[in-house]
Order: sequence, then C-alpha cells, then structure tokens
Amino acid sequence: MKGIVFTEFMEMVEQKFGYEMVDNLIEENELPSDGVYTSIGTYEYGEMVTLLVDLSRRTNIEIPKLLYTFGQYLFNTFVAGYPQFFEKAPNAFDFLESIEKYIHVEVRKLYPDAELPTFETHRIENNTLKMIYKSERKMADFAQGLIEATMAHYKEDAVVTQAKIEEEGKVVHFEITKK
Amino acid sequence: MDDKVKMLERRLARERKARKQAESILEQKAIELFKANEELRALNENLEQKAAEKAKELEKSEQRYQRIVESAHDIIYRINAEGKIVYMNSVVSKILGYENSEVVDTFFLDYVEPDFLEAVSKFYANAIDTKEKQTYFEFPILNKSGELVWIGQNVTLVFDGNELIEGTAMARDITERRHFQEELRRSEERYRGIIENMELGLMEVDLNGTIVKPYPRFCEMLGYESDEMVGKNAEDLLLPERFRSVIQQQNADRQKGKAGVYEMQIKRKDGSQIWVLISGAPIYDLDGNIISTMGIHYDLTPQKQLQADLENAKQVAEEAQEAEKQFLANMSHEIRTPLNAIIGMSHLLYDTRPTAEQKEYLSVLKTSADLLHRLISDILDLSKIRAGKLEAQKKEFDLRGLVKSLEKNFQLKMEDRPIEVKAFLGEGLVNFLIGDDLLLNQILLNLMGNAAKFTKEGHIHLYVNLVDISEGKKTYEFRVEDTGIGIPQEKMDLIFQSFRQVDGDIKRKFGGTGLGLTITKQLIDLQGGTISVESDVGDGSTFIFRLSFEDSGRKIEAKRTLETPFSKKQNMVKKVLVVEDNYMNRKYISTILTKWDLDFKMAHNGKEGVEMAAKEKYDVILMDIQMPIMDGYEATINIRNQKNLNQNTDIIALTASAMISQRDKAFEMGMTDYISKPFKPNTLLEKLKLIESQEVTEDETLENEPFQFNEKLDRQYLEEVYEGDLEYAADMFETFLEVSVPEIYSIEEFIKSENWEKVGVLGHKVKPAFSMVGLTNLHEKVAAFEKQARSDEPKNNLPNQYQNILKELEEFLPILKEDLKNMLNAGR
Repeated sequence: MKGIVFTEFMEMVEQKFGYEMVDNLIEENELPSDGVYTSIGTYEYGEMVTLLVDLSRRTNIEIPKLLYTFGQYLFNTFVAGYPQFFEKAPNAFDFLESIEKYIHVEVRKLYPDAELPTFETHRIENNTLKMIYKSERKMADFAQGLIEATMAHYKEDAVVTQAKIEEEGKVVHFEITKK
Repeated sequence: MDDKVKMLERRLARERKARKQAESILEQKAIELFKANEELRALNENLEQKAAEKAKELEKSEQRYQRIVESAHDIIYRINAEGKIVYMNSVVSKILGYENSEVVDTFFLDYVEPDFLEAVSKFYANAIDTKEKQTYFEFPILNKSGELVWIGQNVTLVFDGNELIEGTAMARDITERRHFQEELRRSEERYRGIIENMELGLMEVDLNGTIVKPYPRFCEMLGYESDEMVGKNAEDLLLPERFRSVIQQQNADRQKGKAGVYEMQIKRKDGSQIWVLISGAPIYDLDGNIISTMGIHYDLTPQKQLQADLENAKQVAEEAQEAEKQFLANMSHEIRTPLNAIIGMSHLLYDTRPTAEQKEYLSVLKTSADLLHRLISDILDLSKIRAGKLEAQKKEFDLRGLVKSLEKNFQLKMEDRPIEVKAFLGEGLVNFLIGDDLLLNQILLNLMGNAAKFTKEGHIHLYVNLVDISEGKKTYEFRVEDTGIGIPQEKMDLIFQSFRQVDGDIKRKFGGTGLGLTITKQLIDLQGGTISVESDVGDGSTFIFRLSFEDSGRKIEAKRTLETPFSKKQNMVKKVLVVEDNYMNRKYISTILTKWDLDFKMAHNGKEGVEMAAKEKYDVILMDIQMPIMDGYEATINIRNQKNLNQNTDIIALTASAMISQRDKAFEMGMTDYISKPFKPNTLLEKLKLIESQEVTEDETLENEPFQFNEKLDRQYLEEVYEGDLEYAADMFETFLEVSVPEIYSIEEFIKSENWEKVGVLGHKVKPAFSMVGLTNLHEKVAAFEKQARSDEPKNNLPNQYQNILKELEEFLPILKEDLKNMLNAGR
C-alpha cells in the first residue's frame, strides 16, 4: 500500500485525535516501518490493518466508520493534490467512470507496483450508476466515503448503497442514485 | 512535559527518517529516470538514423518505381474502392491527352465511351463480387478531344478480407491493334467470301490424302454434303480407276512442292462423272513444311459440251460449203449450156440474112446473152477463188506482148470515142516471166474495161514499171489511169466489195455486175499482190497494183521480123487450126479438110483459139470473126502481139458476107486473108494454096544495116534494155515524144501556181520514160527534182531546176527524133 494512504491517515488521526494518538498508535504497535511513512514510499497493507484495529479500540469507533470517514478525508487531499482529474470530468458520474479508465492508469504509470481496487461501472438510465468494487484489501467503506465525497463535490444529491457480493467483502456493488 | 518532549522528539525523528526515506526514494527514482532518459535518447538517435536511412531507401525505391511507372508505355493508375483515380502516370497525357493532375480524383468510369459504360461497369462489378484479383478487359475510352481510343487493361484488385481496398490498373492503347484486327477480319471475310462463292470447287486434303475441308461449291458440284466428304480418302471417294496414274504423278509433284494443272474426270455422288480442270498447290505452315494440299476444281462440262458442239458445227459448215460448191458448179454448168445455145443460135441467125429490124433484135439478144454469160463466169470465178479452187499457174509468158495486145484491143474498142488508149512500158520486159498470164490478162481486162466504161473522153493509160528485183523475183507496178468520172473518197473502200458499185446511179447508168473489181482484187490477192486506187470525183481514177513474177532467165527472141503477108516457101499447108463457134460451120469445114487429108484442130471461140495457138504451131488458122467470149479480132491481136508459136502464122478471116467492113478490119487486126461465108470448098483451097507450110521454120530476117543509137544517148543502157529489139525501142521513143514530152511541159503551169504536189506527181510519172530513151543523166535530175517537190524543204530553186531540165531535154529532142526515124526504117 502506497505511502500516501498512511501519511494521510496519520494526518487525519492527528487532526481528529491529536498527535498523541498518532504517537500511541506507532509506539504501541509492532510496525515494520516503525511508523516512518513517506507518501511516495510503499508499506505493507497489514500495517494499515493494525493501525485501524488499534484506533478503533482506542476510539471506540467501528472500523467501517473509520474507513468511511477516512475516505471522505482522503477525497479532499485528492482534490487539492490532483485537481486535473476533477477538471477533466464535468460531472460525478463521468468522474467515477474515469477512475478505472484513466486515474488508476495514470497512477500505475508512476507507481507500477500500486495495489489498487478495480471498478466496473454501468450506467443505468440517466441518474443511476452501478460501480462494482473488487479488491483484496476489502475497504468498500473507504470507497463509499470517497464516492459520497465525490457526489458532494459535484454538488449532486445522491443516495449511495452498498451490497456485498462476496462474503469477505472482496467484491461489492455500489449503486449511486441521484435524487 | 517530558512525555511531550519525548513525543515530539520521536515525531521529529520519524519526520526526519521519513524525509530521508523520501529523499532516498527520489534519488533512486532520479537515477532510474536518468537511465531511462539515456536509453531513450540512445534509442531515439538510433531510431532517427534508422528512420533517415529507411526514408532514403524508400525515396530511392519510390523514385525507381516512379521512373518505371512513368516510363511505361501503358497508363498505370490506382483507383480507390469507389472507383476514383488516386494516381495516374503521365503516360495518360501521351495516350489520352489528359494531364495526370486533371484525372486525379475523377472516376475512371467517366472516361468510358457511353455505349460501353454498362458493359464495363458490369465486368468490374462482377470481378469485385467474385473476388477475381487479376482481370483483363478491352473497351473504348474517349480521349480529351473526344476521339475514341481502344484500351486493353489489366487490373489487380486488392482485398482486405471481403472488402475491396483499391485497384491497380495497366491500360494499353490497342486502337491500332484493333484496327489491324478489323482489317484482317474484313480481309479474311472477303477472301472467304470470294473462295466460298467462286464457281470453282475447292478442297483441302492432308498429306495422307484424307479430305480435310471441302468448300461448299465443290460439294455442290459433286452432290455431297460437306460432312459426307470430310475424313474420307479423296482418291477412293472421287477418283475413277483409269485416272489413278495421273493422280499419282500429281501427288509426287505436290510432295516436291510443285504446283500443277491437269484435266480429268471425277465421280459424283450419283455415280456420274464430270470433267474438271484441277489445279493443285501445296499449303505450307509457318516453318515452311508442307502440311496439306489445296485442290481447285473447275467444272469443264460446259467447255466439253462447247467443244463437241463446235465439232458438229464445223462438220455441218464444211458439208454445207461442199454442197454449195457442188451446187454452184452444177448450176453454172446448167445455166451455161442453154446460154451457149442462145448465143450460138443468135450467131447462126446473123448468117441467115436477117432484115434490119431482125438485126436490131438480134443485137439486143446477143448483148443480153453476152452479159448473162459474163455474169455467170464472174460468179463462178468468184466462187472458185473463194473455194480456193483457182490456182495461179506458172507458165512462161511474154509480159510486153500481153500488154501490147491489150493496148491494141482497147484502141480498137475505143475507136469511135474521143479516148486515147496507150501503154507505157518500162524496163525489165526482155525476158520471159513465169506466172499466170491468163489471170494477169483478166485483171488488166477488168481494169481497162472499167476505165473504158466510165470514161467519156480523154485517155486511158496503162503504165508497167519494174519497181523491185530481189532473189530472182521481179515486182512490177501496173497503173491503169483514166480521165473518167472518178470515185468519191468515201466510196473507195466500197468498190472492192462484192456486188458493190459506187452507187445505184452508176449501176443504172453504166450497168455491170458489180463483181468486176472484187474478182480483180481476189485475183491479185491470189498471186500475192496488192491493189489500190487513187481518184477524185471528176478527176479520173488510177488503179495501181503490183505483182511479182519469177524471171525465167530466157530472153524473148530479140529479133522479130515484121509480119509479111506471104512467106517464100511453097509447100502446101498441112496443119490447120479452125476457130469457129458455129456447129454447122465447123462440121462443114471439118468435112472438107478431112477430104483434103489435112491435120486440123477445132477451137470453139477466140479464147480457145488463142490457147491452142499457144500450144502448137499451125500452118494456117481459119478464124471466124463473130464468136462468144473472144471474137476473131481479139484472138488475132492476141496471137499477133504475144510471143507464141503462131505469131506469124497466116490467119484467114471467115467473114460474114453481110459485113464488108469486117474485111478491112480483119487486115487491120493482122489477119492475112479473108473468105466470106458461105464459101465453096474450092475457094478455100485456093486460099490455102497461097500459104505455105511453116514446118521448116527458119527465122528469115531481112538483114539490114545494124542500127546504133546516137552516141549522145546512154547507148550501153539502151542496148541492154532493148537488146536489139528495135520495134520495142521505136515504140518507146515514139511514146516518149508523143506523150511524155507534152507531160513534161505541162509541169510548168503547176510550178507557176506552186502546186508542188502536182509537180511531184507528174515528175514521178515522167521520170522512168527518160531512161527508156537513154537519157539516164536527165533521169537523175528529174528524180532529184521530184524528190524536192515532194519534200518539206524550201522550193524556191525548183523553177530553176525545171528550166535546166527543159533546156537539156530540148537539146536531145532532135536526136531522139532522128533515132526513131532510123529505127523505123531499119525495120523495113
């Protein structure tokens, strides 16, 4: 998992719970990286799981909610850091469709070893988009956060529903219906 | 507090580590980038170079292809799937007149000639459907000037799977080839048309003799269908047995490459045989080997038929001709007999003392009968000549004598008319000639008779001149000149044709059978001579003919004695010739001659008498006066004037008692005595006693002083010409003085009037006469004079020449007169 996830996660934790929490997470857990993350580095996904679990225990917030919140937080980072992707897509659905076709393609160009989820998109009539999320990291909630943040960003009112297709959560159906 | 500091320290440491990590990662990435860049650059450079090389190669290759394409003779072009021209080489401007820039982006079908558009579209649409990659098609195109150009193009279609991508085409201008093809086709058709329609039968046979191709006409000729003949052996099918050997020979010739023509019969389908003319020739292939033979057959059936018909016709014609001849011969005999009886009877009537009235009737009767007789003779002669039955005899005769007789004869005939009859003889009449004197006599008789008929007054002249000597043959030119009514130019050709006279008037006025000149011409032609006429209406006519005779080499006896009424010997006559047409008279005479034991022969008319006199020598001739065919006068003249055995024989005229004038005439003609009918035997006997036998004939010439010509004349020439025949010479001198000299003077007026033609004619006429009197020098001068008058040269000195001639002539005139006198005296 790319460093940016870890660095942003730590930022969010710091922002929301203070640096002490960050420090605790690092000091109290066995982390191969020793908590040293740079956004351009690559670290084990397992470290994220550890961090999430520990954070969830310490804050009493369920992991899914943590992930959902993180998703929304990371969206802002993306908007600030890579505005060109959002400028390219005129509306939310177009943007969501471009993640697989374009954005992740560009990411892989720079970071060939990036582990990214795959999205299969289908438009159903004018106001519904179906996105099929597939990933080994099973972070559908994270994805939902991002999705909802996207809708909000494009100021499109929509309802985003999630349906597990694979019991572990490796394959999830999202249905985004504009209001 | 410590905790916070420691926490911050830990944060710082982590931050620092993170930073260092990042830096390390960046550096790595930078190095990777650099390496990648380097590789890229190297690759780039390499690529650029390769690209440049490739580009150059491509350019060269393109240029090469371009050149090939441009230098092609054909139009090379590419079209896209829609049929639009995307590229065309510049040959198009040569062939069609379009610039290649004009044609790009246009549809190639636009150029096809409208009538063919459908066909072309269909063809290529089909090719595309059936995915035929390579095609060839010919069609006409309109060039820039709108003219038709025939194109033959190869097209290669390029497909990508099922789809047509493009096409490449090579188009050739085949206009000329098509033109030639068309010509060839037409030519072939023409020849085929000719061959197929010829009336000749053609058949091609291979080297084994098997029929390869029988042409329609030939099949027709034989009654076969074409397929009945093909494949069969020509000889077996068509050849009759007996011609096998002919064919074998012809085949051998054909193998050697010889063509040949031959006649033979061939079998038709129905078994009948027809005659054909076959011409065979070998047929060669391109390498010059004989591959077959062509036989051309020409149906000879009509020809053969024609031949047979001609044979028949010839036979029929010949039979007809034979029949005609027989008929004529018979008829003439049939007619002659009663005619002779009429003539004979009319003669007898004369002797029965007719009254004046009766005499008149008799005269008419006699004239009519004579005319009829002449007509029959003419017709018979003509038919004889035509039938080739008349042959010119070859006998020795005396031309001079013949001419002289005729002259005397006609002088007698023209007695009571103001017409002068004269004969002018040239040289070369010294020897006996060999020919047919009877025919010649008849010719001259005819011509002079005509002259006499058509001339009222003036003269009839007969000129005889030697004009050529070669190889022992002498050619004489005879001219019968009269001053009669003349013949119009347009009728000149007419007069020699049978039964033709100048016109109807002539017939009425002058009578005649119209056969005279025809026969004359035939007689001349028969002897290989030529005849022509010069004449003008009112100006008289001159008939000119030439005949050739062989010279016998024998001289006619030069010395001639003039007739003496009585010879000196005293033997009694032994042989008598009786010329008498009357049967009774003949009977009477023969009785008494027999009683006296004398040899005698009978002639029934003057002509016979002359003939017989020529054959044997008689002691005396008893000559009746009035006889048919030739009367006594004429006969006597003949005998007296022509060299013959009886030239000096006594002739006793048997006169009709009523005709006293006959006696005088008889003497005039040369008869030596007369006895009038009827006579007593004794009277005759007394007369006979006066005559002596001429058996022992010796020429008794009275020797006189030998005569010599004046030395001023060409004595040698004169002696050669006349060889002592003084009478001949005297005659000639006389003629010269009496006739030629006036003629010479007459030239003067024509010189004055500058009528050179007439001058020439007269000069020509008188010229020979000069030699005949020994004036050979003058002869030359006259010859030159004549030549100049007749030429195109200037004539201004002719009057002078003429005067010179006259002067010289006048000097000689007294000499000539003197010689003539001496000659005449010498004869006495």
